[in-house]
Amino acid sequence: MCLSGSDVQASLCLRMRGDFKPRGEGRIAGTLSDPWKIWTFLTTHGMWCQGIKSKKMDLSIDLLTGGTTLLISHEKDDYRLIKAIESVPLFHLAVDALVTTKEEGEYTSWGIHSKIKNGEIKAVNCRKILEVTPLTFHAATSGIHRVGLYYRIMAFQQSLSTRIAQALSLHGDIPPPYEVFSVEEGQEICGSLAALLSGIMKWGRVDVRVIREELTTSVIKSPNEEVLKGVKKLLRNLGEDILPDIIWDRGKGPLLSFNIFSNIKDIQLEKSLEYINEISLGRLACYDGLAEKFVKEEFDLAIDFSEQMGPCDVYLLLLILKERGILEKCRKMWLIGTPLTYPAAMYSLLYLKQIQKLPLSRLVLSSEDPAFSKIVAERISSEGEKIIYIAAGPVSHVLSFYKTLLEKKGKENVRAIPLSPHK
Amino acid sequence: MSCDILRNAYLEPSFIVYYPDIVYTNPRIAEIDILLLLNGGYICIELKKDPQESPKDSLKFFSDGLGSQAVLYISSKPLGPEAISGVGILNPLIISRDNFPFEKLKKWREYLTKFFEERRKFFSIDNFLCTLILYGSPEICNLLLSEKGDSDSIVPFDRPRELNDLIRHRISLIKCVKGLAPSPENYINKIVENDKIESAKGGKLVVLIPIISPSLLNKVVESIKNLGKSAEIVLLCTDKSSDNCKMIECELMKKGLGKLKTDSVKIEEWSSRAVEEALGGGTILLAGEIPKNVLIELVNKIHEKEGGSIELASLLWRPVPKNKFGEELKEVIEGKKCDFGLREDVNLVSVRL
Repeated sequence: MCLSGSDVQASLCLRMRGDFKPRGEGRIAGTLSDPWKIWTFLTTHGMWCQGIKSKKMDLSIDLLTGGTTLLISHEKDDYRLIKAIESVPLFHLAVDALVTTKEEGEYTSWGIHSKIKNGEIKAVNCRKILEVTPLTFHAATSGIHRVGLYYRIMAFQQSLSTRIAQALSLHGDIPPPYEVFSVEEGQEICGSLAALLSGIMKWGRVDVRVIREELTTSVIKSPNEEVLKGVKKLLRNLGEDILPDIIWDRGKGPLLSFNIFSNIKDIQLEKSLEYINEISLGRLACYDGLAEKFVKEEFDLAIDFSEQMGPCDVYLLLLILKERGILEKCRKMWLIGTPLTYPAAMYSLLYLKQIQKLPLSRLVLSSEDPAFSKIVAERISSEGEKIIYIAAGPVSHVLSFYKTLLEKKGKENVRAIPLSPHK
Repeated sequence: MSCDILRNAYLEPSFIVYYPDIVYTNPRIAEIDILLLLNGGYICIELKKDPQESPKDSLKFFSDGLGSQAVLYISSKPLGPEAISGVGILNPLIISRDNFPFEKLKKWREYLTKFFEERRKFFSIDNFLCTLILYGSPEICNLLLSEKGDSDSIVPFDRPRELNDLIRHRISLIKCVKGLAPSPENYINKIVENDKIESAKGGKLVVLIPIISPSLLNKVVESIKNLGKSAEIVLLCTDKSSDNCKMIECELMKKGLGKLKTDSVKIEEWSSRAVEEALGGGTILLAGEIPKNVLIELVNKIHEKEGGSIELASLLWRPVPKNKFGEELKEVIEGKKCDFGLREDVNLVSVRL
């Protein structure tokens, strides 16, 4: 293969798979009952869940610039809902252009002809339509702030979850997250990678000091000029055949490689692949050897979500428990989110509820306030005999939560497993 | 607007919502001088010095999704015929001071200090619940705050009786404004004053310094300075954060803090060294993102020492009053020119864990 450097305009089109219906009759499945509702929930930071009755909701990603155009066709007066979603200040939606068209009739009530025209033009050069999960669609429509980056990483990890598990030699009959949302792996990988690359491309337009301020953790670094040039090449050549391999070098963590680029000697491309590997898979080194930290006894599992954690983490943890033969010893699973991580934790819970024969799982809303996390820890410690605490949340939360668990249950009944790539 | 509607409503002064990513950045997303909650809705009231500017400011509230009737203004001056919004939304409504229920605001002055201290303690979760008041859909609020106790109920909101009065108060307001409960229950007058959140006033202060964002370094220095006035300070960093540590040390020395010691340790020795230094009544303060394995080791080691009188603290964003409590409210009630803009700031504050 040779790299395409032409300036022929092309785009990839992301579309949410419409036939997904959550299993069960619980209130969570009832509230987040279709992909559009799930997307609204994620994009308004868990504030809204109204679905747009849309037959077509496409995100076009320009493969030259990474620019995004969201095209929503809607029924009747749903444009009011779209405008309302756009006006929620907490929302994460930040596309370069939002085009709305009415399904019956020529234009929306406030539509501008040139914008509709623009939307039609963008659709003409669409290289491929990819059906993706609501998480990936949300990541691609999300802003380029830190939270937007984390959703992009989370979606990419979700799409690679089977390959990550295989690289870790984990096997089991638990369906990966994209599968329960009824999408194909190849389309999900390509879609989530396009979302990630588009986000990195957009950072190229932002003042580097602003990016550094946003990415203040030691795990995430801002992209340099060379990386940005490589990402541009990668984005231009994106297609459905871009399925990556993951090799897990014990002690060093996961390594991402793309067969189609293996014969190309291009330093910018190599640097961009290194960067993508580091930001999207670097954190997952924490799963290396994690299985040995679980003991074979009955327990409750409390998973404290960090900002980048999502359904892929839940999937890997389930496989680890299965591999150790202790999944059936897990009595209850608590998914702990904070105000910042609660939408991702809820989405992960929705995924868990789609899988049969799992322990009872519940969402816990805690916070960085020690006074509140203490109340939450007391509640959780009152319901289980032995607790395994997967520690990945914010510093103050991990400290006060674990401290309270120890005080309430004693060292013999609490085991904390830090989910940290640091050794 | 009918005066009767205002009289039956719930009023709350000084209401600010922050973006939930407050760990690193702290942009405000809504500043409301007075919030007025009705059964099934809310109204934001701004104090205006110049009502002619109202249409422009009103648009800000409208475009921030705060409602179709953007905002009400209390002003003694009339708006004037030339002021029109011109953007297809209703003109802001100016309400007269004569009809406004100031007695409710007067009552607030009694609770303000206790309320503010409680809000500081529960700042992050309170901010989230305030966000739900303004932006949450009734369906989402119903899902999050249900007391049904089934597996879909969200912990700990499924058992509100176990929660603190401030949290119960917020839940009650959310349910009222979203039409999920008929009227709010007043828990505000039940709030009792507890310990202040600051700690580490005495004894040795051991600060773990990780990599810190450049814009936060000065705030970290300021926080340590405020805590370490009479204590011996030990700054512990790793090789990755030693530059940050040197800068903090230099700034603290400039500020005249004498008893200062700095050391760079291996990451695997960080927790042991911190506990060793803090033994005998010290405080370990975490000044940023520390690897989770270090945190767990730290808690384990302190627990093994059976409390060992070591305190743990972390720097967290908390609202800090700019003025004397309730001063602005007094001015507003008395009809003097004033705004709530000077009431609070957010800053990094040491919080005992």
